[in-house]
Amino acid sequence: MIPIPRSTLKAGAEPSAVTCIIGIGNAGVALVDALTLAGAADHTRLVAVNTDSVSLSASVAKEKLLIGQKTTRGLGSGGDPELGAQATEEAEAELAAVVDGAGLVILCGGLGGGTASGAAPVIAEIAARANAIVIAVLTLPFSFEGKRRARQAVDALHDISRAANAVITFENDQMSEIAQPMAGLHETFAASDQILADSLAALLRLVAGSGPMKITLADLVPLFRPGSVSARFGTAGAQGGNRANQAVERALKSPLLRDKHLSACDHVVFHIEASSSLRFVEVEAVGRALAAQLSDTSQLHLAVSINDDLADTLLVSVLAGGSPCPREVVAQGKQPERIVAPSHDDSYPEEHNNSLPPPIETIQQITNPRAGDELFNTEPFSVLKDSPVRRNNKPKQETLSLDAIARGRFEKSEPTIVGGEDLDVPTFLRQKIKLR
Amino acid sequence: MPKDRLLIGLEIGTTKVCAVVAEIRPDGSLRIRGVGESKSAGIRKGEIVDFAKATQCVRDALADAEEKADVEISSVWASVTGGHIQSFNNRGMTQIPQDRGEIDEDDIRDVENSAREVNIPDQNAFIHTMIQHYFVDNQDGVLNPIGMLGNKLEADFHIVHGIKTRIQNTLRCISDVDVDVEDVVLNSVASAQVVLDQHQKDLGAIVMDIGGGTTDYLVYEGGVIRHTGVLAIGGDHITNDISIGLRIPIARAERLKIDEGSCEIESVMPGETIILKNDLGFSGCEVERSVLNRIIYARIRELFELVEKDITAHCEIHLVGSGVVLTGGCCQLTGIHEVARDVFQLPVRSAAAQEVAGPTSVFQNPQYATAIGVVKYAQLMDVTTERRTLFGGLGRRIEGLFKAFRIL
Repeated sequence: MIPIPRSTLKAGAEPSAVTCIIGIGNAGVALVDALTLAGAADHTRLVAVNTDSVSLSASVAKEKLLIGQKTTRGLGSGGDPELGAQATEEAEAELAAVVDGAGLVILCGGLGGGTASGAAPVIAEIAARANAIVIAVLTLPFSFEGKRRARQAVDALHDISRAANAVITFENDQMSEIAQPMAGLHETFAASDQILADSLAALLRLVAGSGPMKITLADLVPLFRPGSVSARFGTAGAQGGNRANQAVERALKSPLLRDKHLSACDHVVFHIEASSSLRFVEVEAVGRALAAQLSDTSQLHLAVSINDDLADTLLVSVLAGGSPCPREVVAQGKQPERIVAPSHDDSYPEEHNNSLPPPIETIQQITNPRAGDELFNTEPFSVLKDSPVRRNNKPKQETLSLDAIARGRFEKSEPTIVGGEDLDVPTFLRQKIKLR
Repeated sequence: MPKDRLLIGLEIGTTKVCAVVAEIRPDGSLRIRGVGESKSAGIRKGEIVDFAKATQCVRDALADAEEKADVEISSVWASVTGGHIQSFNNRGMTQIPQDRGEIDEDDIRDVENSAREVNIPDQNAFIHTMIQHYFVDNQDGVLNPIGMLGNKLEADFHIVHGIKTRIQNTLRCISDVDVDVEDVVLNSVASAQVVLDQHQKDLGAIVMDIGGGTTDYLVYEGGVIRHTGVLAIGGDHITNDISIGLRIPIARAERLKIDEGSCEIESVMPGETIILKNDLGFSGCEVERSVLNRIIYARIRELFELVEKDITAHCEIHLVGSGVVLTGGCCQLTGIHEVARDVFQLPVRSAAAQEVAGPTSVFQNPQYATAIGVVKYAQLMDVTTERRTLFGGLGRRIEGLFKAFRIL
């Protein structure tokens, strides 16, 4: 059974609340740049916040805010979170203006340095005070960056989790699992950025989805009730006949969710997005696959959106919360407490309860299923199996007939794909060699 | 080394499962005592797709080998292959502690570990970490650094890794018939041990083992393995292509490939036909030889081109002095050398096992090259292990390494 909270079934047009993404520090600014270039800025406010004026002037973000002009004189925080925090307090009024009226504030940055570690907790507080839902999407430093940066990151994470409704973290060390061995530095960082960008985009889709089954911002609140600081997040897409099962499997394997046990989470939201070709059995398949991962007591919220831009792709996003942070906080024996928190629906202002940002079509560009597939899938073959390179090789009719006979005895085995070509199909057919 | 030491090499191939029982003579040479074989089932492209059937094949092959060699098999060395296997070269580095200065076994282990500190996908496991060169304080070309003085030890390794569970499946097939696996070896590494001699390894050579379901290739340069690769294309693909192209059943296509298969397209007389006799469920037909050859030629040429492309991306192909050595069942196709020569622009020859004694029919047949190679590799490793054990506890380490593969 899939329990569906009543509130998700609300229908009708609602006034839009602004979603505001704030990139803090160099890493955050880079991410905001990436989102801006991908065209996400049309429906979302993207703000770059940094102590370093050089980085900020190089950014393409529409809104930029240099903090700590007095404290750091625009030279950056030099890896000192104290400076970062001071700089932020100095710019409190400007920041309050930025988050004013925003229904959802997403903070992103790389912890471990000065600016993000120092500023993010303060900004999270400011945003929470403005009655916004605050979600922080943060990266943790590489372990080789040293213990000091790791400690700064953990401290900052702890501070942020007191004010933010949800914290989604991504350990840079996990990059190893995404990037191929000996992959270039640039590729590895690009992969990491892509994951964050995908996660953000999926999050936006989740709150902006057009229905028929919706999740409002208010529905997300119980997911991140006090005590839960580490949200788990996975998203993936798939095409083809078995797309529902494939997408959910990939989503569960995606880097932020892998090796984490969903059974420890008592609230799980899952969001399915597809074109109007979406069938009920597919929703059912996704739900059943997820339910198998959950404990008996956990609650599963379902959201379904129809987006006809997606063609054959089905996207599944899983957001799980409600369990204590497995690593840092437990290790320190501290239970995070929330200072300002819209912790349940009643205390949450009505206009936010019914408010939704408009659907964000342009988001599709940064979460285009191709990128998602390749990134999140660890199976080299199945990645390519769905890659558009192969599909676009031939007109659809021909592909169908080829697949039916041409793979012959290899039909049931894993395809051998090199450079986007299915080598199981006879060479003479692929190269169109005339036999007679 | 005990006089009657026996080594058993097992190849679980796409076409056949083959177990070679060999004894090491006191002078270190190998003599084949017997070969057990069974036709494969449940194996596609070198990987197990039907566990029960594959286990039965392994059981049959081992029983056959036991009977023919008149021995009881308790442990084997197994070859592995599959399109999931990947490789790369990496350099490891370790500092020798100031108070010691002399390089010992621990440093060798450290440098190996440091080379393995590369991120491979989570689901993958290391299959081989093969030494290429040592460097002591930037001194090039050190063969054995143990006992040398130095501050810094570096080493280049060729590292092979693949999906852990798939390798474990192969191993479970063997452990299910109550036989231990001493170690696994990559197909191409095994084949190269018997088709190349030391001189050819030093000169540089490309070995291509074109089997039923996979093509395993490897490049030796300057006596060390420079590159390895597995492409999940083999004889089965040729059969499948023939079956589709000529619209005949798979079994007939297989027989046609073995009897008449050729990739010569220029010397064919126009209009020459091959008559396929009628059979149960097959009404018989005539096929044009030029059509058959074109189908095979297209596949073989493409295969060589893919391998050549991959090798040129990783190695200096002009440094390969002794050319391309083809082995595996498919190298018996007529005209395959010309195609390979055309693609690689290097001398090409077919080879079977060299430097082994025993029934000629066995070691001269390229189909058995891998299984014999496994034995040869086992012998090499055995010698190294034993020598190292004398020096230190390395033998134990190697043992521990392969325990990781076992799922018992």
